[in-house]
Amino acid sequence: MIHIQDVAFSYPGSDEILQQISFDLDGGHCLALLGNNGAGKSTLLKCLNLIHTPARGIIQVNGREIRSMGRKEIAQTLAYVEQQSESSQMTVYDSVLLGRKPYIRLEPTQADYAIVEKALARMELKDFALRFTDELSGGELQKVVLARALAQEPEILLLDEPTSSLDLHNQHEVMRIVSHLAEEDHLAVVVVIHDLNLALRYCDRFLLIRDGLVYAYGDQSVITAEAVSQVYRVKCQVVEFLGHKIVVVE
Amino acid sequence: MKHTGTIKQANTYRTYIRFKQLFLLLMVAIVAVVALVAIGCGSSGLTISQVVQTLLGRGDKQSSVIVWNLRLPRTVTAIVGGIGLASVGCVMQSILRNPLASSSTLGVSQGAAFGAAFAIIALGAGMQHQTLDGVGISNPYSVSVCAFIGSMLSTSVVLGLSRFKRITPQTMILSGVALSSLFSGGTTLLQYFADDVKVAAVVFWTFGNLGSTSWREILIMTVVVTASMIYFMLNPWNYNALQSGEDTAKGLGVNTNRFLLSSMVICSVTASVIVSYCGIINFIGLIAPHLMRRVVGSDYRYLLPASALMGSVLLLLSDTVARLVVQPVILPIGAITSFLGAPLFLYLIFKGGSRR
Repeated sequence: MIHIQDVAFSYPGSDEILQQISFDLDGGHCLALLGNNGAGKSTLLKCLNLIHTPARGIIQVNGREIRSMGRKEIAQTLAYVEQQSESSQMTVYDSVLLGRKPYIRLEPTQADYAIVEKALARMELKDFALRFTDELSGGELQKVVLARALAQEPEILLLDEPTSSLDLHNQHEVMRIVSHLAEEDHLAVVVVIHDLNLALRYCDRFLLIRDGLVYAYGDQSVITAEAVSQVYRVKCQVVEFLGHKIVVVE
Repeated sequence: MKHTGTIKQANTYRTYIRFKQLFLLLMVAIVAVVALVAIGCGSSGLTISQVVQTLLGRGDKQSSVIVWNLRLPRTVTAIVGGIGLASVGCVMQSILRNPLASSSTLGVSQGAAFGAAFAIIALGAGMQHQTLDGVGISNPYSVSVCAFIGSMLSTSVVLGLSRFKRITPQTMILSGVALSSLFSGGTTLLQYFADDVKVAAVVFWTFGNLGSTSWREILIMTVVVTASMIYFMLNPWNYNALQSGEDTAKGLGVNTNRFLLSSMVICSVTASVIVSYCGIINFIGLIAPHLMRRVVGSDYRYLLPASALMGSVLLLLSDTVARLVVQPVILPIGAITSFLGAPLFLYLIFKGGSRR
């Protein structure tokens, strides 16, 4: 579904933060982008839907180069959820309706409303529909932006640290929803995440970035003590506990 | 629909939207009533019925002269100026993601004031005679043109920085503050070397005045404000998306670089035209959107027209107060909008709370 080959990117006046990033991801899978702070994970995510334009490399969605697609078409294919979801004096319903923006000409159609209502119900937000987003908790707000992303009817979902600033309960709830979206809706999900254990629990593909290059890419087997030590520069052990693989820092 | 709660939910949302639509209709009616009252108020008081009769061409000669030559141009200027300033403020608050954004925040007003001071002092378009409105400017066209150039100069610098240095909305506001300082300093220097008469003319111009616009100038303002409103109203979803941040807006399909630039240019041209004809009128662009956000929320489909209409109401009311308080002297409109606007703004900040 998405094919990335030798993608490189640098901010103006800086060295290349991403040098040669390559991976493929099909629908139905959830990929965790892992690496230290400043490794370029969020930058890579923004390159995937051309929020940042890569200096070189290939980004193809279903065989089509993304640069040949217009902004609206990209938004209809890839939904992006920013790291800090901003609340505003908009109702939850209006915020989710905004997900239909790539499809709306002037006014939403009945079909747009139906899709919004389905997304609200899916995220269990129907009781919040007319509340302002700045009245919501962090977990509720995260569900609103996920519902908005769903309303875009994308094939690929890009999430930048969706669990940062959430409590333990909401971290797991949000990641459970994300993992279900990959499985049930057959979406390709790319998620930037810092919590390795949360990633191991809910993602099935892992891309470790180190010094702007791919250190390892694959399934759970790439998360080894050696790999984590090299990428995060900490000593750790990877063990099995209650049937789950977890990383324990020494 | 397969979810049981969604029909009720959809109906509730549509009721909420209908409330906003009805509110817009109510605002149109309020503008019409306030305009008729404003036309009627003055030293020669006219009843609303007399005003309506005169507007329909059935008034006596005296009423016709008062309405058509004196009060109507002033009222139309207030309506058009209010729509323009409020909609520009509303849009700037979205694209700069700053609730304090308005034409004065980016130095547009200060640039215009410098241009006007330059025309009056350096080009000799200074004071010629004293009127009830204040002082007359001997060459209003050169003052308007220079004010326009001054405001566009300020805009060009901010736009240039955003285009070539890719500055953030926050830095854009800081650039506006720096430019405001620069132009204010320039105006002070010009005034320092000018004689009393010219300084008085500059000060008078900066007070703002709705009574000096001719029908030709009103037409120019109307065309510019109408064109900008059409552009704004065709893009409410883009402004809604930008409220969530530039990256999210891009992710939702907005070509942010092009859209921010075109919106800024349109805002600047509109504000420049209004300021160059009416002088500096503060707070309308700031207060109208803030007031309306509390009623219709931040959905730009409704916030934009509601703010524009509220801008008209506020400017009409301010002008009526300016004309009635110390008759027959007409107080400067800029001072009245600031005098009424600042406490109202503080009240809104302190009140906080409910917005629906």
